[in-house]
Amino acid sequence: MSGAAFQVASPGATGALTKSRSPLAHLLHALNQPLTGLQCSLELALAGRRRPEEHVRTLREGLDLTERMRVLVEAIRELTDTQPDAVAEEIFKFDELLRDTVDNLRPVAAALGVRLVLVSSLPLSVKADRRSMAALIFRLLESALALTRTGSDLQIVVAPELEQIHLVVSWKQGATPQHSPFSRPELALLIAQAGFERAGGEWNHTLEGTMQSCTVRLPLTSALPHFTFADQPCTSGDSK
Amino acid sequence: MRILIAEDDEALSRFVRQGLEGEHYTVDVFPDGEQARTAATQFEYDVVILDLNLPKLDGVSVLRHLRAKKPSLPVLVLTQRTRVEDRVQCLDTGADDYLAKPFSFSELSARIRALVRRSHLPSESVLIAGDLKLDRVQRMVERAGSRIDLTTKEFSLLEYLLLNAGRRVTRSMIIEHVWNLTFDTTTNVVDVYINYLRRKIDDGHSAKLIHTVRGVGYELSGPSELQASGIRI
Repeated sequence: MSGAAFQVASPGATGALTKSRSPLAHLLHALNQPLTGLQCSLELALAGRRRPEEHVRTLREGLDLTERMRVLVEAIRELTDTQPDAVAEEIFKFDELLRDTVDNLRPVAAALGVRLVLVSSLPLSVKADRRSMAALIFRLLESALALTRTGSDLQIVVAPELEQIHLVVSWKQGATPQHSPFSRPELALLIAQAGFERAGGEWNHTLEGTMQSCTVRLPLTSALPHFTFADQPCTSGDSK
Repeated sequence: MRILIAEDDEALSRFVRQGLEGEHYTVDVFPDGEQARTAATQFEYDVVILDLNLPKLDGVSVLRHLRAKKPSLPVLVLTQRTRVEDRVQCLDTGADDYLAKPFSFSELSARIRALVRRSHLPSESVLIAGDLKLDRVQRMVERAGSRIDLTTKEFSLLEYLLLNAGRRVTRSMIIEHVWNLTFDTTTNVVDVYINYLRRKIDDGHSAKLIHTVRGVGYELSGPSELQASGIRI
């Protein structure tokens, strides 16, 4: 985990986790809840006489709590991963990778009733670990998609800014997800933040009214010779 | 079907053993790498489930030994690590599949079935299930003689289902193999793509090929067993 990963004090889903304590402390605290629930549930099941259907219910609840703990443990593990990445750097077009991911998520967006709008400047060549970057972009966009209000747009804008790639993902907040602020999409955003920061990027997450926005700035120091400014922005939207 | 489990966590190996025996596998458990290596070398197993952090001899050494002695023996590695790099390193060392702890038993069970099937299947260029045909070289799909146009992702998904025809595959397995991602997704991306595929593959046909396995994932199975055309890649 990079030192900078949890220093962003911003409002919003992940921002709510960063006000007074580190997200890690919040997650560990959140882990206590299902753990306590499971322990109490099992103790009560052993202590009292119960009908078979009550035992079945206890087991189902136990399974749900265990799954909840698994999600939290997984998030903690990803956030505390301090091993250096085995980077396999290559030069690739960031905008193409972004477009592929957006296209890949269009059917999901359509099923959720969300319109994906991509505004992309071409071409934006970058030198990085392509596979890791693909996973990070997928995670960011998929989480944002899951948090977007049905019937609204998820807007993705990528453009060059000085010597950086400037990626802005913004959406109108949907219904508060179950287990918020530790819901799966919110945790995934947090992990994406840590991932981008680990990759040397800057992350900012803002909330204005009902609009949420994640901004990622990726340093292109190593890729500067391959960096080309866009001639014309290209916009694509699809509500398929 | 005989399975070797190399796992030093007694409780975990006991649960896994009970579960697999419940599915009619014969299971041998070894708590350290040395015993596991000896047993796997001396006896015939259909699958090895190998924890990486073993006492006396670590899992990677056991795996290297097995790859040298029994290259076709399917090995599923269990580990605490989930990073892509770890997974790649594991597969590069010779593991056939990889499962991070904590895992659900149904996930482990599905992966074992897929491994067993894969080890008995030759690589074929044309995969057939009932009247559905997928040509991996021409990248063409037909059902009952009619051509079906699929997107790249839909094609990969159908190919993966066909390679595991008759066996259930979990959403995690699909995400890993088709999307090349090693984390839980936050949307129902797999279900959405399965629905798209269903519309193209099953709509208008009385025999449905893609089935939902409640609580697990999906299974593609036709009226007849998966057949291969005989054309080798």
